[in-house]
Amino acid sequence: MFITTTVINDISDLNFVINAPLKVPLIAVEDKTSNNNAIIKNMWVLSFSLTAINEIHAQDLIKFVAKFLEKKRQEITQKGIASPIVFYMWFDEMAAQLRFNTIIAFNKKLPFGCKVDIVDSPEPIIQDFLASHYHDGIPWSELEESEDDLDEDEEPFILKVFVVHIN
Amino acid sequence: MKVIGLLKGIIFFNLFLSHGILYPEGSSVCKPVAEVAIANIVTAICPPAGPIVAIGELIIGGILAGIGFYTTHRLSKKSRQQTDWFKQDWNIERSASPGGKDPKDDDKDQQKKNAFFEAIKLKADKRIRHKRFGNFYRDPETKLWWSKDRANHGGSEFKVFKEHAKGLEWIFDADGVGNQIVGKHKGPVGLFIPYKDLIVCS
Repeated sequence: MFITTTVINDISDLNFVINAPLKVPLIAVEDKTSNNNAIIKNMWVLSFSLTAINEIHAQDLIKFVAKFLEKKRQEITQKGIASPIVFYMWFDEMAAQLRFNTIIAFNKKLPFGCKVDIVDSPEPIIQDFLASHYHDGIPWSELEESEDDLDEDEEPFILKVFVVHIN
Repeated sequence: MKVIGLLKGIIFFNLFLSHGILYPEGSSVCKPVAEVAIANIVTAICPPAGPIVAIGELIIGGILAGIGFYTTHRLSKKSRQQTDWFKQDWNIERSASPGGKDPKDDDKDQQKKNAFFEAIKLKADKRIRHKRFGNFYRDPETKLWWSKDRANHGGSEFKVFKEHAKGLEWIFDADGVGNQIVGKHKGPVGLFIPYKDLIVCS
């Protein structure tokens, strides 16, 4: 069992992600025999260095997603995987990372514990990611001492997720 | 009795319509239902004692049939759309899936998670708040800051950060009882971290 994490220092580093093979068998979210570790085994966590953030444009990442999907489509065809495979991507703002995962789509729910806003293209997620203030961490200036135990967010949290069928 | 007969006919007629739409032609379900429906309607309109005299029954029956047909048509259309679930249902389902959990274990798991989080809060020597991310609690022993993971993807319950000069830097995601599930590494691109090598934090 492996978890893949990647630090992108340069746009060319994304080729590694594109060419990495899927780990099979793929997992369906509501498969009772699966667990969360299995669900995230095809998850990618992309951290970008500050240099990379300043150099990479939204179009570069949109092209990267398109290439990644095309590569996975070819791989799924070659491996003869008949199950419907879904790719989904989101911006993890607290960690300042782009994250995406590939699972079997036997069900209509994504494995998130929050409300999700499905978007039709990766662009809004990439835009949010590139515009984030948190690539160098959460600044002290935005943190204040707290007296209460309230863990609820002041603003309701809705996560943008781009979802697409690969095959 | 005429009204009941007419209503029965309408109900069966709509059943026939719905099956006719939902199932392919030639389905064995359609024929008997259709025959019963037609027979009921004919009996209601033209009973053995003579033709129906109350025109009101026909009007009410017609309205009900229209409503029934429209409802049936909408339901069957929605049913067909469910096969194209990516376009429709991903947009409808905006709630969470626990991700491979047996519902029977949910209560027990939740108790453990709550206990772990309460322990973090109790143990914390500092507590800070971010307007959007909520509270962060500092473990006095490790100096790591724990906060709830708002996305809660694939069993990730906490985000764990370390302090640095400018603020808090994410270092790993943890499950409900503090086990690290996704962590940061600095080094060659695409390093694969063996799961067994990940440190369990408690």
